[in-house]
Amino acid sequence: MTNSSLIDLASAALLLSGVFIASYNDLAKQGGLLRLQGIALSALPFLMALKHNSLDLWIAGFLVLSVRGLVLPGLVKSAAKRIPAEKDRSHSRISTTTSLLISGASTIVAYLGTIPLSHLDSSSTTKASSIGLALVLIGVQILIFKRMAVGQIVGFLVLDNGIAAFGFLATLGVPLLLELGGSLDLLFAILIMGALTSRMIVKFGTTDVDELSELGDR
Amino acid sequence: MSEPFSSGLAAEEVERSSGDQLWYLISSLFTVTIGVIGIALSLRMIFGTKIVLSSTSILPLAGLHLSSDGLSGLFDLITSIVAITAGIYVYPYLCHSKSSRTTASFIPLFVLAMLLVPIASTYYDFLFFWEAMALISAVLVLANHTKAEAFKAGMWYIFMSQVGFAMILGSLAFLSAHSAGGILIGNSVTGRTISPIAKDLVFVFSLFGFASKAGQLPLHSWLPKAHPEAPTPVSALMSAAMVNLGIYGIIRVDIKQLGAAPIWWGVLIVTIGATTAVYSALHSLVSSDIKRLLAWSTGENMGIVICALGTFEVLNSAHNPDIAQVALAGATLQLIGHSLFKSLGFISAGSVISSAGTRSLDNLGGIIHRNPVAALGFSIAALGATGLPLGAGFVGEWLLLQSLIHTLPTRSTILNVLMPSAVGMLALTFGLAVAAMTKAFGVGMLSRPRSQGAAQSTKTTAWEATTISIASLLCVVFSFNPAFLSGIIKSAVQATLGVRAKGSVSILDHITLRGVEGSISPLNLGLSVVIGVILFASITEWRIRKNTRQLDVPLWACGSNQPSAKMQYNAVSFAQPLERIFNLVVATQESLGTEHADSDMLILQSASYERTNSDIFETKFFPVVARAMVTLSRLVQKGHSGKIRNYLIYGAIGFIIVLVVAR
Amino acid sequence: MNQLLVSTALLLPIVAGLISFTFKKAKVSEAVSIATSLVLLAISIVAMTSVVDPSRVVIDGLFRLDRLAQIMLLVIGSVSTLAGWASISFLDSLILNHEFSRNPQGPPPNRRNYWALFNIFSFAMVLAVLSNNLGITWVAIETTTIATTFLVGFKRTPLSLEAAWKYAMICSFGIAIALLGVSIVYFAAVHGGLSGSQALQINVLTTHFRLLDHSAMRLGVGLMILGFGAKAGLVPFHSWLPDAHSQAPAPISALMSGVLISVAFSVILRVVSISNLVLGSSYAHTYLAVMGLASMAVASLLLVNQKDYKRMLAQSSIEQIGFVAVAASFGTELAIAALLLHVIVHGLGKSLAFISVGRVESGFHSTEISKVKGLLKNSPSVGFGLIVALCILIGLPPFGLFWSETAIITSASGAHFVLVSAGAIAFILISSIALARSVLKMTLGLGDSNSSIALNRGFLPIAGTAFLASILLGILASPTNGLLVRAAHSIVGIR
Repeated sequence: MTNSSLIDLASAALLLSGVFIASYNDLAKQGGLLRLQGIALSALPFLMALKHNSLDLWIAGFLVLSVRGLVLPGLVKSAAKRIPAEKDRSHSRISTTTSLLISGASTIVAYLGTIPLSHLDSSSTTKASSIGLALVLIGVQILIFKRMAVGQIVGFLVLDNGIAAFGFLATLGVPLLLELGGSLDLLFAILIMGALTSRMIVKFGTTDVDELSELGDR
Repeated sequence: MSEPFSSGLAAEEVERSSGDQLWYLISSLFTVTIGVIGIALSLRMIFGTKIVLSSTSILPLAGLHLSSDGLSGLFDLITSIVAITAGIYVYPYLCHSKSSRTTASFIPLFVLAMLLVPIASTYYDFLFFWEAMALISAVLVLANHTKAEAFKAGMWYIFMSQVGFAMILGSLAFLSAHSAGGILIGNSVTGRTISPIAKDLVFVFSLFGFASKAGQLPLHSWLPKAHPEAPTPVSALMSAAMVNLGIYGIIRVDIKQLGAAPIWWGVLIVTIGATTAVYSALHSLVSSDIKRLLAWSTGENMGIVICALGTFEVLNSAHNPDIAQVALAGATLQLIGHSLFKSLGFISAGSVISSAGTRSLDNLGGIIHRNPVAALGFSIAALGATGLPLGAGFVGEWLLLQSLIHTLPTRSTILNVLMPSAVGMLALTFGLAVAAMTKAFGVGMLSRPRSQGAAQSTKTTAWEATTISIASLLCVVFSFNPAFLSGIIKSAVQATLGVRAKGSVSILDHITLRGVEGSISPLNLGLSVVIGVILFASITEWRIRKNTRQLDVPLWACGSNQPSAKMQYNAVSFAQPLERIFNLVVATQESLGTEHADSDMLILQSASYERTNSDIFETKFFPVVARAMVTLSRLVQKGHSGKIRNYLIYGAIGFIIVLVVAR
Repeated sequence: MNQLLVSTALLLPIVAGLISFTFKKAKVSEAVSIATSLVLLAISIVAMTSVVDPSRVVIDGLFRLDRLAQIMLLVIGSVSTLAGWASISFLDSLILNHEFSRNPQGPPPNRRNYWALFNIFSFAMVLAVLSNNLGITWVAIETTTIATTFLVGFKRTPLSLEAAWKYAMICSFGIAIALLGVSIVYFAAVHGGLSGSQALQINVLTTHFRLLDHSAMRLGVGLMILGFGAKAGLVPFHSWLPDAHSQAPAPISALMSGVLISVAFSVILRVVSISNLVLGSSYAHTYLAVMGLASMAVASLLLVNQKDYKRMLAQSSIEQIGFVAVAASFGTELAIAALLLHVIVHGLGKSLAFISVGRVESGFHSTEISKVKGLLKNSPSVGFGLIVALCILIGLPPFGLFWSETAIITSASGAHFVLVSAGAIAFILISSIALARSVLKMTLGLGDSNSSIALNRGFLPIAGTAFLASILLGILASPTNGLLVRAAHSIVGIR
């Protein structure tokens, strides 16, 4: 397999894992898929690093692999174990079918959205950058329609993976400084969200974000 | 045990109150001093010396720019005169009402702000002083904020004044952007660079904004609430000086800066003025609160002034400049006259109120015997407010009527319809004003006291008496001989017209109108009336003395032995016939409550009667606006009910919109 | 000199944060934190007195102390001084309340965490302002979220937890969109031929704007304005503000409302200045006008029926930042100068407002407007503080917002700007009446005379300082005018 077809494969894995995460409701499975997605994402800089022989990309690859491939999915999985199963509540506001439909629509919107970019650079990777945007939109979908706090965190992670994928596919990755800062911020953000989730369990006994509607104007 | 403690408290109280008194005195002195300096400076402005002051090191982004012309001079002169009389009254009033130090210290500031408004030479500075004046006056209106009525009045004032300011801000900011250097005074070419539609909008908005400050419909509701609730010297300042600045705004911006006008501008101005005059006169007539009655009368008089300005504008557009000048002179004289008699009215009413302890006409009465100085002062003010000869309001109204009458006949249909209807409405206004003032004086000052407070009211203090005398003197001199103001009027008229127009009004001992046949001499008129009255009185007296068949019989008292205060006309009954006729406008609500001593409801134990008049704008129009706002607000609130999902969806929609728009 | 000032401004808050975290003594953290804020203020003043070259970039072109940064540093320094000062008594009363409450929820509030986060928050804002690199700016803005999430949830009540969650989710979402925008701008720059390390530097982008592709920039700029708009509190990501502000400690609300949203907006201003060069001014200005007006509309309508005074202040912030966006959409030098003045004075006024309502809340144990009455009579200093804050915020003379509002409205002379400014006037009117109504209901009238608020140390000097500063900014033109106009010129004049 050539380098570029491997990149295509990794991109496809990214998108597919995103679609599955969106349609699954089981946290543990989502964690697993998230790990898969992180690894697929880290494949992008590694493959590009092989091609362009760039140290920055190697470092970025390891950063992505460790943070998005291992640590964050691990956190999600452990959260899935810690959080009491709430069988009586559905985890998503929409059915699997609807979720799949939205994912499909997102992909089309993303493709249309990146047309101006592919005009600028007709290389195959830039064309694939619409996958990044599609993943962002799928992430938004998860963020909006999952009911449980951890589900929202997963959505946020998918969204962020999408942005990173977009960066790698469109421009061989953003500057290392931004990548580093971004990963660090992401890590902290997820840690904080996790901490808030555990407080939620203590205070409310549930992590259903629909319960969080005390504040507001009425 | 408790005695030393309480005496200690009392000592502290005394100490505090003497400190307060010093504070009041200083406030009073400051106000008067500002007034005196104001008179000196404004006379200089009127008679030629332009006062220019510019500094860019204060007031960010704008700089301080002051300048003046005859028009600024006129308004500053009026404000300064009112500031002196009201300023003297500040001390006794504050001592009596034990006001807070904040109130005391804001009064001179208020005068200062009012003096600065007409000499602000850029739009920025004008807006600044205008809004500063509004803020300070709002603080003063809210001086008694612990009283529910005063709080409500203050809220109305703030609400209306913000609406008015938004209108003024919008239109003036637009003008400022389209004029060289944002200059307001001394640059009348502003209007030429703007499209007609924009000009129309600027005109309409600024007119309504300024008219609101002068208590005109439809944004008038604050005036009859705020003026009575403010401390009396402040009421005098607001009613006799602050409302004038609304007129100043109309003259300066709508008439002078916007320049040549389509005829409907003038028609709109006349309509607002005439409608407000009638509306306010009616409300003035049915008010039984003496300060409220005076406040409504302010709206009425400003309506007359605005009507005169509108007539000026109409005649100018119809190329009839000579008579237009008559109307303008009428507006000016009415403005001055009103300020003089209204400040006198409020000060003497204040004196009456503080000695009788009530504002309600139905609880006053018999003041003329117990507090003659105040009652006399009030009578002079009331005479002015009626617009009858010998009163301070006569000359201006006469000039306005002259200008309206002499407009006919013209080629324009609008004018042929408008002018007679304006005359009609003004005639109605004058009639209602006479009735209102007769009621105020007759029921409030004459007759028998209707309450213990009124019966026990005492003479004014020397300080108050001096204030009232000074204000009365000014009023009398003005009404008998407005000639000494001719230079001032001429300067103001010329500043308004912008060119050295030949005067068509000469105000000497006779007021002579050129171009139309008309002249009048207030002095001769006054003297003849006075002589006539004296003659009549002496003849009557002589005839009574001559008549020897006099009998002393008891007054008929409806069958009881002594006529009591309850048998006389009171404020409500006096106005009742007219109130019935105009019930649509004054919206009277009456309620009669009875209590019976027996179960068969045959023996009446006690009865109570309550009656309120409401301002239809306040009860019908504004609540609709408020409800609409609340409904809209509820709608937006529904979208912000706390569901995080909705919030995220808003974001996602924004995201998708950007994706689409950016393509 | 540039380098010294920049590195001091960046390092000092970090050091202060570390010290506050390690030392147990509250006095130390308090002193260090407030001293840091004061030093930031001093740095901005020193920088303004023209010893620095505003166009010079330092430390590998990553940072720059330009005129906009100087003014924003002034805002950060002054408001964080006030907020830090107010935090002392806030923490005291919070801990006191905790000790006396019957069933305390969770562990007592931790002073060390508070001060450490306070300083990290300052650091993140300073970083965002000084950064010359869009990437670093993004990281800094994201860091403000991380630092403040715990501060929002500091009280550890269920409500504050809910607010913190919403705050974290909505802001992270918005900021992620901004990151996408940054990536796209990077893409455009790299394809235009800029080297990877320079492709996000603002000064490089503005000098080489001709190299940037239009369609990519349209997308990138749009996403960045939208995304950074989330932290600025602009529609559609405005909804976190009332929740977060109503639950955060009052001094933190002051910082978020008075500074954070302005800092985020200053980032938008930088994005807009690049966009204006590449795409012409109408593109970004349309976004600003639409988002600004929408924010003003939503906020002023929410204010009409508002029952909670802390939410009310937050919504007023949305309205104000919406107006600032409208001002930026006019884009004239006058409008930008006025905008900067607006931001400075709004910072002071909002801090005064939040610090005052913080006292009210601690006295009345309720944030309902209808529960609070007669403040001016029973607790004159708090009532007075609140009324002054109201006057500042609704733009009454002699406070600075009067001038900025008038100047911004005046600068809208073109045809379609007039419609925007007419809308802005209408919403300002609605919100100012609503705000005045609520605040005066709380302050005036007769209240329950037992409900007077215990005055704590520090309130009067803090309120007095804010009052004096905002009055001086409304009256003196001498140093401010020059600074504002120069800064506005440097922002607009890039063209």
